[in-house]
Amino acid sequence: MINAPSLLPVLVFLAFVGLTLGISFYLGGKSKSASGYFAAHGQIPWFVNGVAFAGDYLSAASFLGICGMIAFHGYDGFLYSIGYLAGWVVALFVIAEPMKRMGKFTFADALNAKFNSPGIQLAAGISTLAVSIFYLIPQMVGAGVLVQPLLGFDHWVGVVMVGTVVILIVVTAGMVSTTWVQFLKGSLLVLFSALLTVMILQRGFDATEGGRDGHQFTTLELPGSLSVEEELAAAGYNVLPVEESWRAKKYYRVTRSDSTAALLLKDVGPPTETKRTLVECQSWKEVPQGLLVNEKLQGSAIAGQPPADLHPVGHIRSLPDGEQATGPLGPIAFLRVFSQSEIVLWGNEKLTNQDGSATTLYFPKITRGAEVLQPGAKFSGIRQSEFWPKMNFLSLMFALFCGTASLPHILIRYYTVKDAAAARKSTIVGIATIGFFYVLTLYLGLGAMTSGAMDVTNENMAAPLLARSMNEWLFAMISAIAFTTVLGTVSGLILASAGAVAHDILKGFVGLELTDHEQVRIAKLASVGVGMIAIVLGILFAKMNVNYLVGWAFSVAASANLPALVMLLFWKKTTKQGIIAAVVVGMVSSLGWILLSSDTFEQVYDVSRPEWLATLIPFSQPGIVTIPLAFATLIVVSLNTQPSRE
Amino acid sequence: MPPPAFSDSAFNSSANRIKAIPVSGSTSQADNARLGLRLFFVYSLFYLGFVIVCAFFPSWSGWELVPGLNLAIVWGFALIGLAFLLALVYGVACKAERVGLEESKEQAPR
Repeated sequence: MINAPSLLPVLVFLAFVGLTLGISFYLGGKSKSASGYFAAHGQIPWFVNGVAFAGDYLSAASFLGICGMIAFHGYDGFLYSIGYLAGWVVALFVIAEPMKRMGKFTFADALNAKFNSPGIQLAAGISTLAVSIFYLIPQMVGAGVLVQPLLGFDHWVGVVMVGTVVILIVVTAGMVSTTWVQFLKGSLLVLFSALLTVMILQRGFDATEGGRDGHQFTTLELPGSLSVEEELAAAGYNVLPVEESWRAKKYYRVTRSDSTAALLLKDVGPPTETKRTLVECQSWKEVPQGLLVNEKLQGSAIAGQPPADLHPVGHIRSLPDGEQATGPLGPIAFLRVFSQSEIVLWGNEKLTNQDGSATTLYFPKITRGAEVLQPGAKFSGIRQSEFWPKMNFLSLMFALFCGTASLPHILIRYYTVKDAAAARKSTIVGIATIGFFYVLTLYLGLGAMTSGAMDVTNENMAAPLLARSMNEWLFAMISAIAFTTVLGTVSGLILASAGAVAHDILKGFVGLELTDHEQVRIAKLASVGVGMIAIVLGILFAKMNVNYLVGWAFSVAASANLPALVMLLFWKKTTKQGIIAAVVVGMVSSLGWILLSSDTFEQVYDVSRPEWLATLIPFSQPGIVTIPLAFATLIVVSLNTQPSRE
Repeated sequence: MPPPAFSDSAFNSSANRIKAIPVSGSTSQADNARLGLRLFFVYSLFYLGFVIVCAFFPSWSGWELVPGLNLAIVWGFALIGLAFLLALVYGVACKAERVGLEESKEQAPR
C-alpha cells in the first residue's frame, strides 16, 4: 500500500527517538571499564532490570510479528506468545541463579567457569555470534516495516537507519545505557499496548463489506447448476480472458455491463451443494515502471479518484443476530461476539504468467470466528492426520520452551544485577510484565484483524496500521516505541556479539593479552562489523514474518546452548570435550536443518527443493531433533572423555 | 570458582528423584534449586498437555467452556497466568528460606 507520511507523527517519532538516544549517550559517558560496558558494573536495581528484561525480550518480533500473525492467521500467532512466555519458566526455575553465580560477562564465561578451556570459550563465543545474528535478522526486518508507513520510506531505508543508529548507540554507550533504554521502552510498550487494547474494546465491532477506504468487496452467490461463465453472464457480467495459470485456480476477470472497470473474482467453492460463491480478489505484480496493483499502476490517478492502490482489508462480514455494530465490549464479551461472527481473512497465491512474470493474487476467505480462535490456520497440518506437520508444530513449541533460557542477550542480563536473589526477583518482574503483554497480543491481533486497515501484502505491518486506524498520535507513539524497541533489542544483541568476539574469541581463545580498555575498543569495532552484517540480512529477508524468523533463532539457541548449560549445571560427569561437541553439533545441525528446510526454499531462495531433501528433512522446525541430538552428543562424548581417577 | 555440583539425576523430571539433589554451597541454594525444579516440573506438564491437545486432538481445542471462551483460549491464558503464579510462589518461598538462613546468604560464590 502507498504510505504517505504526515508531519505530526513524524515529529512525535523523531522527538521520542531523539530522547532515547540522548539518555543513551548521557549514560554511556559514565561506563568506561569493561565491567561497565558489558555488565553495567552489576549495579542495576532488580526492578529496573526486570522491566528491561521485558524490553529486551518484547522485541520487534513480539510486537509486530505476533500481532501480524494473529491478525492474518488467528490463534496460531498466540501460540508463539504462549511458547515465548513458557520459556521464562525454564529461565527462572532452572537457569537464572546458577548462571548468575557462575559467570562474569558473557554466556561463554558461565559455560567455561568450571573448565577454563579456550575451546569452550571459542565454541560458546561462536554460538553466541550465530544466535545473535539470527535473532538480529527479524529485528532489522521489523525496523524497515516500521519506517515504511510512518515516514513513507522504502523498507531498506528503515533497515539502514536502524543499523546506523544502533551502531552509534553501542559504540558510544554500553550496558548501563542499554538497560535504562530497555527499561523505558519496555514500560512504554506495555503501557501503550494496554491503551490500544482498551481502545479496541471501546470500539467494538462493525459489520462491513470492506476496509477503511470505503471499497466494498463483491461477493457473488450463484446457483451452481450451470458453468461459472454462464452463470456470470446471467448475473450481468462480461467474462474477460485470463492467464491459463489463473484459470486453473478458478480466477475469473469480469466487467459489469454498466462499467468498464475489471473485477477479479475467485470461485471459492460451494458453501452448499447447490450454490457456489465467487469473491473479489486483489492482484499485485512487479513491472519495470513500478507496481501493478489490481491491474493499475500503483499511485496513478484518474481525475476525481484517489491514486490506484490495494484496498486495505480486514473486516467482519456479519455479527451475531444480524447486528450492524456492537458498541463497547468487555474483554470476554469481545471474544464471545468474535467467535459468533463471520470474519474475512485473506489468503494468497503466487502464479506464473505465460510471459514468465509472476503475479501474487490475494483472495478473501470467509471464516467463522470460532474457527479463527482455534489453532491450525498457520500450522494447518495439525488439523490433518499426517504425522510430519504435527511434528513440525511440536518441534516449534519445544524450541520456544527451551529457547528463552539459551538466548545470549537474555542471559547476559543476569550479570547486570548484584546477586542471585536480585536475578530471581528481576526475572519475576520480567515474567509479570511479559505475561501481561502477551495477554494483550491476542486482543491487539484480533483488533487488527477486524480494523479494516490491514495491508494485505505485509503481515508485519498489522500493529502500526491498527494504531493508525485509531488515531495519528497513537500511531506515532506506537511506531516510535516499536522503533526504539528494535533499537534496544538490536543494541543488546550487538553487545552480546561484540562481547563474544572481544571477550570469548580474542581474549579467551586466541589468548590476546588485552587491557580492559582495549577489550572495550575491540568490542566496539566488532559491533560495527556485526551491525553491517545485520543490515544486509535485514534487507534480504524483508518479506518473511518476523515472528517466524525469531522462532528459528530460538531453535538455534536452544540446540546450541541449552544442552551444554543444563548438563553443566546438573550432571557431574560433563567434560569440556562434551560441552564443545554439544555446542558445535547443536549449532551446526539446527542451522543446517533450517537452511535446507522447505520453508527456507520457498520463502527465501524461491526455488523448488530437491526430492531427496524432503525425505531427509521432512519438516521445517529443527528443535525436536537437534536439541536431543546435542544432549546425546554431550553425554556420549563426556562418557568417552572422563578424566582418569587420581 | 566452583559451580554448584548437582548430581547426575537432578535434571530428571521424576518428582521423587528430584528430592535427591545434593547441592554443595549454602542450604538455601539447595532448597531454592529443589523448589525451582519442582515448579518447573509442574509447569512443564501443564505446557506439554496443551501442546499435545493442540497437535493430536485439535477438535478438542474448539470446545467452548463458556460461550466465546474455548479450551484453546482458556488453556493459553491459564499457561500465562500459571507462569506468573508459580514465579510468585518461587519468589515468596525463596525469600522465606533466606530470612531463616540469613547467615548463609553471602556464601554464594562470586
